[in-house]
Amino acid sequence: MARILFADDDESLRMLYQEEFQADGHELHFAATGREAVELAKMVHPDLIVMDIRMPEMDGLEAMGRIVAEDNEVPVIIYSAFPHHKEDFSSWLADAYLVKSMDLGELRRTIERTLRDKGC
Amino acid sequence: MSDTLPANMLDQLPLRLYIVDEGHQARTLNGELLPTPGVIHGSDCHVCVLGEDHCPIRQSSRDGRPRHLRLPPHLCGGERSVDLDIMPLRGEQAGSVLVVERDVDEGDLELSRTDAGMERQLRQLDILNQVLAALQQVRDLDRILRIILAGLTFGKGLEFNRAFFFEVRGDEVFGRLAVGPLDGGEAERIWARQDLSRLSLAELFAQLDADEEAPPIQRHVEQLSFHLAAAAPQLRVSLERQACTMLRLPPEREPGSVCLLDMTGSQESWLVPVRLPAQGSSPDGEEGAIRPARGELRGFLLVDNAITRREPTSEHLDALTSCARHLGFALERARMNRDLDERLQELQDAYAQLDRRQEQLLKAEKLAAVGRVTGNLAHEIKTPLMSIGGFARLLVRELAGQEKARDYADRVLKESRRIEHILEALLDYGVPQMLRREQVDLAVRAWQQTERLAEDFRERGIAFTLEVPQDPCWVWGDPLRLDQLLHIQLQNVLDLNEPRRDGGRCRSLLVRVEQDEDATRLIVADDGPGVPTHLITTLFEPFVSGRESALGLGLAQARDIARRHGGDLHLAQPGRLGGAEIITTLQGRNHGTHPVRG
Repeated sequence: MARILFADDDESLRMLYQEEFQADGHELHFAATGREAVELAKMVHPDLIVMDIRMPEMDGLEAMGRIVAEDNEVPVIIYSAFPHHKEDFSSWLADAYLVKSMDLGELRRTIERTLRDKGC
Repeated sequence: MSDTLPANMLDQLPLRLYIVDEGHQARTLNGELLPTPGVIHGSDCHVCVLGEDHCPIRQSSRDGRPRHLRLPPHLCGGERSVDLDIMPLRGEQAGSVLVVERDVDEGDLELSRTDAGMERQLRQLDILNQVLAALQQVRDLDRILRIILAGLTFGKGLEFNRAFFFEVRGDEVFGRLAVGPLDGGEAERIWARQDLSRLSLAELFAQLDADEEAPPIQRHVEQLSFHLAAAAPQLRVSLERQACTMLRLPPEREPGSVCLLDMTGSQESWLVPVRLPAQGSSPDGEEGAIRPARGELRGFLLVDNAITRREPTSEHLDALTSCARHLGFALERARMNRDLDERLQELQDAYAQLDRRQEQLLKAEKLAAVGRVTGNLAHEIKTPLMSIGGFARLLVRELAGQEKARDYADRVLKESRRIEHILEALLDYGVPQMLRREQVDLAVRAWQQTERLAEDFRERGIAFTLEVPQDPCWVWGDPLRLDQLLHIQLQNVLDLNEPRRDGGRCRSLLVRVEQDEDATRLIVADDGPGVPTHLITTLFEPFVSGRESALGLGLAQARDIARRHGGDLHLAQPGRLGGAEIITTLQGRNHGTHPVRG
C-alpha cells in the first residue's frame, strides 16, 4: 500500500480518482490547490504525487518545485489537460508527464510503475 | 493649250510642246509624230525608261497629277538645263499627258539651285527632328535602331540607299539591323512602293514596326559577324575616330583579313562609331572640354549609296554623324530606362512579397489567436468531459447485469471519447509545440512509418512502394514532428480508403524520398480519384476535409510542421500515379547540417 496525493482543482475529477484508485488499496489524499498540495505533502509525506498544473492560488509546477525542494525523493506525475507544458523546463522535474484522458489506464500503469521503481 | 497656236509663235518661245499618249507615242500639237524621247532622267536621279513604272510621264498618266522635272545639262546633251512640266489631259484625251519642255535660264537656274539647297537642308532638318522626336518615346533597342536607319535612308532627306548598324561586344562585331535594298532589283521594288504609297517618316516607322517578316537585307546582316582583330586596319582605325570615315573597297584584300564592304556588297561606304555618351557630354556636342572623354564603343553606323552610286554631300555626312551621336544617347537612355524598369520591377516584386508576407502574418496571427482560444476552450471542456467519461466508465462497470442501463452508459462513454479525440486534435493544432531539432534521416523515418502502417495498407488492398535513396537523407528537424508529418499523410490515405466506405478507392501508393543540394522532397502519391476540384485551393487550410466525419486538421498540421521546418506542402494533381500527389519540400543537403532556430 502506498500513500498517493492527488492535486486537482476539479472536484469531480478528485472524486473520480478516488473511485478509480481506492480499490487498489492505496491511501489517497486530495488537494484542490497547489498551496494545499504543498501543505499536505509536508503532513502526509506521500510516496507519490499526481499533480494537475492549472490550479488556483498556486499552479502545479510551482507546488511541485516547493515539494521537491523539501523532499527530493518523492516522485511526481504531472497530469494535465495541456500537452504543451512539456516545453516548460519546470515540468522536467517530474518523473512523468501525462496528458489527461478519461481512460485512466495510462495513469494507472504509470502510477504502478513509478511506485515499483521507488520500491513501494 | 490648244492646237490653234501658230507654229511661228511656238518657234519664238523657248518651249517645246508635245503630247504623249497611252501608247507612249509622242506627237506635236499639230499631230506630227516625234521620235520617242526614250530615256528620261528625273531630278531625283532615278533613271527610268518611258513607259516604265517610274517614268514620271507614265505616273502622271496614271494618277492624273502633274509632275515637274529638271534635267541637268549633261543629261540634255547641251549646256543648258531643261525643265519638264508634265500635265495630264482630261476628257477625250484622258490618259495622255502634255509635256512642256522649257530651257532654263542660267540665272534662274542658279537661284533655283540655291532654293533647292535650302530646301534640301530643311528636309534634312525636318527628318532629323522627326527621328529625335521618335527616339524620345522609344526604349526598345531594335526600335531605336530602326528609327535611325529609316531616317538615314528616307526619301529625299538624308537619302542614303542603305544603312546598317553593327554591334560591337568586346572584340566581336555582329550585324544587328539594316534598312534598304539588298540589290538593284530590290531597290526598284522598294522605291516604287515608297513613291506610290508616299508614306511620311512617322508612317514609315510604324510600317517597319509592323513588318512581321524581316526584309532580305535584315536577314543578310544578321548572319554577319567577325572578330575585330581580323578586320582590315582601315576599319579598326575608323572605330577609333569620333567622326565619319569613308571606307573604300581595296583593289586587293589582305589575306586572312575581314573586309566589311565585301560583306555588305558595296564599293564604298561611310562609317561612324556609336559610343555611349561620356559623362557630362550632350547629344549636341557641347562637352566644354578640349578633348572630350570618349564613351564605351557600342557599335557603328554604316551607310552607302550602293545602288545610285551618288556621292553624299558634306551635309549628309554631318547628318550621319549627328545620328550616330544621338543613337549613342538613345542607347544610354534605353539602358537607363531598362535599369529603371528592372529596379521598378524589383520594387514591385518586393512590395508584392511584402503584401503576401503581411497576409500570411495576419493569417498566422488569426490562426494563433484561434489556436489560443481553441486551446483554452479545449482545456475547459476537457476537464468536465473527463469526469463525464470517467464516471460513465465506472457506471458501465457498476451496471453489470443491467444491460439496457449499461448500454446507455456505454454510449455516453463512447461519445465522450469521440469528443476527447476532437479536443486532442484541436489542442495539438492550436498550441504548436517547440521543435527539438537534430539530424534526422528522413529516408529511415519514411521506412519506419510505412512499416508501422503496412498491415493497414494490406487490409485495404493498397500496394505501396517505398523509394528512398541509398545514402541517408539528412534533414535538421524534430524527429517526432517529422514522423507526425509522415503519419498524417499516410493515415489520410488510409482514412480515405476505409474498407467500410466503398471497398477502397485506390490500389497503389508511392512514398518517395529524394534529396539534392537545395531541397529534400517527400512525395506521397496514389492512383485514387484525386482531391475534389472544390477542395484543391483550400486543401491545406484547417477544417477542410473531403470526409464528413473528419475535422480537417491533419493536412493543415502537416503543412504547419513543414513550414516550421522551413519547407512547405504542395498538391500536384494528377500526380505521377494519376491521383493526388502531395509533395513535402524541406531544406536540402546544403542546409542539413546547420541548426535553424524553429
